[in-house]
Amino acid sequence: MGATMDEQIKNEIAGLKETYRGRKDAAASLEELAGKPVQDHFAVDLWQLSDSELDGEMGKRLGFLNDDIDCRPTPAITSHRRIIGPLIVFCKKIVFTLLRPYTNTLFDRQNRFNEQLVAFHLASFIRFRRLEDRTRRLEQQADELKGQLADLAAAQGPHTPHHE
Amino acid sequence: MNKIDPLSDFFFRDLGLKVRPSGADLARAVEAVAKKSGPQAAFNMLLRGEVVAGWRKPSLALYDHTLHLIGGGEKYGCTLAQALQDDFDVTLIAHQPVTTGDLMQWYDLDLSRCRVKIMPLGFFAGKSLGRIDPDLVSARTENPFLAVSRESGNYDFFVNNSMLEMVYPLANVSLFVCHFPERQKGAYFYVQHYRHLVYNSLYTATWIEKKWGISPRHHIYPPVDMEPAAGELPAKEKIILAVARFESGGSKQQLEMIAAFARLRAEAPQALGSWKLVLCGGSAAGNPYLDRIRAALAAQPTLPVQLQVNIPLSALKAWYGRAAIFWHFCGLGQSNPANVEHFGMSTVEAMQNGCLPIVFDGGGQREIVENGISGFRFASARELRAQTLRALADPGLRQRVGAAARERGAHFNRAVFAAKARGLFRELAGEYASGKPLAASEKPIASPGEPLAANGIGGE
Repeated sequence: MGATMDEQIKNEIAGLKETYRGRKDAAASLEELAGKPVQDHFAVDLWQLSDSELDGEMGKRLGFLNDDIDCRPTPAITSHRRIIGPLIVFCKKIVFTLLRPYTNTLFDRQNRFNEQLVAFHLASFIRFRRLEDRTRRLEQQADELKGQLADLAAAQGPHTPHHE
Repeated sequence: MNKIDPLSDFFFRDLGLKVRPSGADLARAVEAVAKKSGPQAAFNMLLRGEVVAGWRKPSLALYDHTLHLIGGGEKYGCTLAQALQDDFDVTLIAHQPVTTGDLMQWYDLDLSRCRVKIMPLGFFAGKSLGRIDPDLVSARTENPFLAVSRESGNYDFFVNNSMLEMVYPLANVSLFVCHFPERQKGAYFYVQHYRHLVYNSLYTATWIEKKWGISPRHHIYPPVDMEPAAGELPAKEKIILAVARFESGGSKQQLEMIAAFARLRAEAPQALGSWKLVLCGGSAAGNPYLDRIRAALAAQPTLPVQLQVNIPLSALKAWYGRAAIFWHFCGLGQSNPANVEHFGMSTVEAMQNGCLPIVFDGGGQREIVENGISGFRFASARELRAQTLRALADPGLRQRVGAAARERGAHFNRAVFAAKARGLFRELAGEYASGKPLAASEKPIASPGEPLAANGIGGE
């Protein structure tokens, strides 16, 4: 009797599993799966980063800026309305075409500005990198010299008179 | 009257039942969970019910996005899989082709009860040479690891051994194994959603807390298994050994080792005598850092430095056996905590072979080498030279400290790792099968300002 009931509930669980497997596979978003809002992004606290981490962050952000130099809007115009949608799309296309000579002037100018800005940032980044390398080498040399001085002081022994 | 069994108790605990409910009640209860917490929560409830009823052992997925590559982190995950395969139904999830046979051969493990599931990720095709590079994912892109999140929800336990914080865990029990918090909290950061966080060293734990604001609870040092069979240790020779990957960025500092060795020879030629430096490590083809090392050695042809790149395990074992002293510089002069050794498996390997370790005083090395007892730790190149000269001059010291190092190295072997891992997972599996509410991981670690229990195995 117990074994039969177990078998029955086992089959029911198996059936329900298939149902919910299908439902979770069909879920469109992580929020839907997790059943709650999920925070996706955290602002990076740049003050907490070490020098080399900042280096990587600067490179990554410069890459993003570079990707976004061209700020012209994407040309695809669509509408989700089934009946009047095509009419809206048609009208928008006409308006966009009419305005293009004016917007193009603005966007071209903005694009040129973006290009210069990214190039300027890249140049600053390279310069900064070189300065950093130079500082690091100087620090290493200073450490070495300090070590040599300490060695010399040790070699001279305790009887060496000190200059005031 | 039907007696209330563990399964009914699990599904209908809140109802205070006196009789076993029917199948229709079950469907209603599960649907109520789905309505409140989504379809995944309902599915998870059914999954757990099967384990609570004792119909099967829990399933466990271990995910590693670089499982197809040989590495210390991957070895950690595979050794974990070996330790757990009798208690769990283990699946290893990878993105690029690899077989259990490959893994068994690379790490000398038995994974015969595990299976591998390959999940290709189209997002990375044609980018970064097809490499799974998490840095290509940002707030501006989709999250390609959502596919892994979805897959994680098909198992009772999900272990993320990948250090990939972009995988949201959907399994009932989830564990994030952190070898070091390399990335900042940023886009698609989900580590805080894992039920348990496992860390490989106290150094890593400190940085998890600093960078992510999460207090991890479970400490399992990596498994190191370079111990020679009893009585196999050969006589030590005048060799200073360094074993580390030839990282293209030079973080393991082999060039600095060559410079330090050259300087030692110049300053104390008699003490150095016939001592030589041997640099062993793996390298990818076309490594510019390795080219710089070769150039440095070509410029000093009389310097007794031997380069051993991508040598087989047997040859590496032989070097460990012969070398009297072991050097490890990783972390010296670094400002990025990720560039300091998070643990230091090669140091333990050397210690297990009775080498006297002289290592940089930072990161996980502090937890391995007890300064002055089982080796020496240096903070500067000057200290390194002084400690090395002391060790070169005193064979008794080398023997005494080498023996202590061997004893210390045994604390990190595979058996210790497996016992610790099994202990943790059996506890979690017992809690899971009981049907009782699952406890969250909350125990805080030592705060960064406190002295770390550097000599302890396990930080709990």
